[in-house]
Amino acid sequence: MSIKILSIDDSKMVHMVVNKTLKPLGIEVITASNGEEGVARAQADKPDLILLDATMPVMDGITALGKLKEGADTKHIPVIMLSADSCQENRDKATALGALKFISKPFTAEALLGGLKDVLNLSIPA
Amino acid sequence: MQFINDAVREAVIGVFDTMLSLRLEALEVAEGILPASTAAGIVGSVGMAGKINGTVYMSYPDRLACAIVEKMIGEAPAGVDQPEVTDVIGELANMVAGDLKRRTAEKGYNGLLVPPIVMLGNGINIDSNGAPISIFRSFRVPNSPEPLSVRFFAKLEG
Repeated sequence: MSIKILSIDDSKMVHMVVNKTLKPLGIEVITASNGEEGVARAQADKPDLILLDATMPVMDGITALGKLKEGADTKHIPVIMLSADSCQENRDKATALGALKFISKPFTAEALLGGLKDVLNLSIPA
Repeated sequence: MQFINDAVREAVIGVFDTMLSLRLEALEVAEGILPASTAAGIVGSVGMAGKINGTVYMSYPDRLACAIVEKMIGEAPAGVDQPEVTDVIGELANMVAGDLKRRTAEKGYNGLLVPPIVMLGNGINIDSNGAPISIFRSFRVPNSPEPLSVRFFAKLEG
């Protein structure tokens, strides 16, 4: 089964680290650089999972999460927040809106893989 | 004040260790009323607003910035003005500010983060503007003769 993950983040460095971690496992990573672009990409590409930053220009991650969970064609897609802004208030907001996990930046490959395993119920080596 | 000073040190060391496998060594530290300073090279800054209002500035000489970017992406950038350099320097500042914010929020001082701003040049003015919390720290980076400089200026509300 091929897995496609959408990384929504305004940092190319984060996309690169995510890709470097997941590509060797055969996971396809597609990207968007802000919440608005991310919602559109999710509607168009139907990823299996979304990694979502919180602090971004144009549309922040919490607003994007709300839109994703309102959308008939995106509300079923599991979302993991991947953000430097990891205070409890943000975690609570994201959880209330439907995010399944919150991974703090800076993050290790192990933390990312562990999150994916939990959410997608995968047996990938961590 | 001491918890913020410690939080700055821990945030910087933690981000570089986790993202770059670089063990930074804390060097010089100063706090109190700090004079305005001028940085040369590249500076990543992130502001926070709320019960804590402030800005983190992380200053890198050109060579250090390029070495860090090379370690992160696996190839040397053509120069400090390349987009991959500003991206990495901005994101590292974002991660440090986020970690710092999480630590201050645990003490009751939360705020919103704004996306990072990256400045380039030889005369970048960094001024505390009289902020009651003014912290300067420098860090030795492995294999670099030049240190990383970090400043945090802030005011706590309430």
